[in-house]
Amino acid sequence: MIGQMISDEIVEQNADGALRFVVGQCRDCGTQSFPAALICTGCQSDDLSRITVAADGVVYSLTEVHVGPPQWHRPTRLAYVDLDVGLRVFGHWRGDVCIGSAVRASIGEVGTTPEGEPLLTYVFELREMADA
Amino acid sequence: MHDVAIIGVGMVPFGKYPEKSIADLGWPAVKQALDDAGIAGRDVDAAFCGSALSGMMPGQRILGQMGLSGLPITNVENACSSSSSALRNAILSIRAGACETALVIGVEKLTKFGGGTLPLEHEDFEVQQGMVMPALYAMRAKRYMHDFGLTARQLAMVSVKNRANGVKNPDAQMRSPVTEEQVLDSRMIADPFTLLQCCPSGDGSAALVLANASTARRYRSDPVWVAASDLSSGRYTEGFRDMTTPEITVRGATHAYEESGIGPDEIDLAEVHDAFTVAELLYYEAFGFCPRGEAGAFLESGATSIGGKVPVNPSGGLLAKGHPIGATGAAQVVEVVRQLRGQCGDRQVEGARVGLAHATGGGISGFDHGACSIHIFKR
Repeated sequence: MIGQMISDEIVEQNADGALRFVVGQCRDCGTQSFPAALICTGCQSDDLSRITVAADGVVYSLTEVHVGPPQWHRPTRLAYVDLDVGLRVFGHWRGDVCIGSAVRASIGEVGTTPEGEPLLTYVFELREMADA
Repeated sequence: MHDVAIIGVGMVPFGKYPEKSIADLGWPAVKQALDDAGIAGRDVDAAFCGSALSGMMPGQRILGQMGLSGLPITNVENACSSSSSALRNAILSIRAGACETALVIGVEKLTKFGGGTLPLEHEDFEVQQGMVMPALYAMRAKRYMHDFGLTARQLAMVSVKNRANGVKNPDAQMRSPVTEEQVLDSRMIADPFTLLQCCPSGDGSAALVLANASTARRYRSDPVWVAASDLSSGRYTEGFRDMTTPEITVRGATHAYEESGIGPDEIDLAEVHDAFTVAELLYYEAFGFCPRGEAGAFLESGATSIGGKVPVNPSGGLLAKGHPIGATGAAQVVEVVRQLRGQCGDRQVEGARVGLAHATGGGISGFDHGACSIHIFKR
């Protein structure tokens, strides 16, 4: 998609186009972090590797927001998603999503920059929609 | 360890004062608190000022304007818990014998941001991705409704109760009552919250004068005693967290009850952090006023109304009194002290002897809440 990513370093795309989250993993205790941290929140080790994990999870909770900073599309659809690997990720959603929905993230437009460019980031939607 | 008492309280009515500087917003509350205690400004040994968004040294700006300088002034930033954290620092200083008297100030001016949602920290990952405070509380509400069957009408009843209390509080920002229909029909902010389920944005200040036991008794016959003072930070987690129970408040409540030897059944009134309707309900459970999952029914029973088993937010709470965030913790204590002295007129909780104040918040990634400060007072 054409536009400005909110953050480039947090996701990667597979050869087949599937989105993956870039996650930090502690070599000492295994604790994972997203976005990938430079120090482990489990044991304070600074020996961390970067891995990628599937952008698949289940919606823990969600809302639609009608207020806030001007760059976001309204309503701004926001959720906490528990990834299958155990991390909780905050992000945008679209489609017919509710608590407990199995979702998958892909890149989508969530707002507009002050320069008028589309603002892009990962967006969760039902897995069957993401696969279609 | 020295016992600590509150001997003076003051606040300016919360509202919108775009023309006032922090100094001019703050000094009237300080003067009121000093006059209430009957203490001269020069006899205050130390000051602690809580504010989140006032820039450098609001304590010096306020006290300098009054000619009160040279004493140690500590400025405390802890988001919505700023002035309750300042209070804890003042209590610890008196307990340790570092000072005999101390002044606590809470001050905030949100009108300088021109309205809208509270500005959050841009370095924060979730804020960069679109987090705003109504969204965070809305997700707590949606999950609680999903898990426990809480209804939109029960949520609205929190606003109805607190706005009814605010009508009776001259220091409240919102002085008109609302009906369930008005609450539910107001414009949608963050599903499930309509406008009247969100605390208003505004400005304000509040101040407290504290003293050790022997000094307190010199100034007044009815000091209000600090029975517990607790401060916690949230637990950072990368993974699952249960947003239907605020673990930081559960933990803080346990500490505060242990410290005071007072249990939830002995609390005569509580000022809790009702930034959005659902929050008050979660805190009924976190403080043990009712069992888990039963907050909606507990509210409907009238137990938390004035005259009920444990009146919650008799001041009107954040929903009606307003929430100039750094001022909130101190203002909650102003209400508790006035209630324990029997000075609250139409909203007086009859026979109140023990009161609780609870300020928590902070929208940052990884924490359910960033900070939580809980105080219990008795007369």
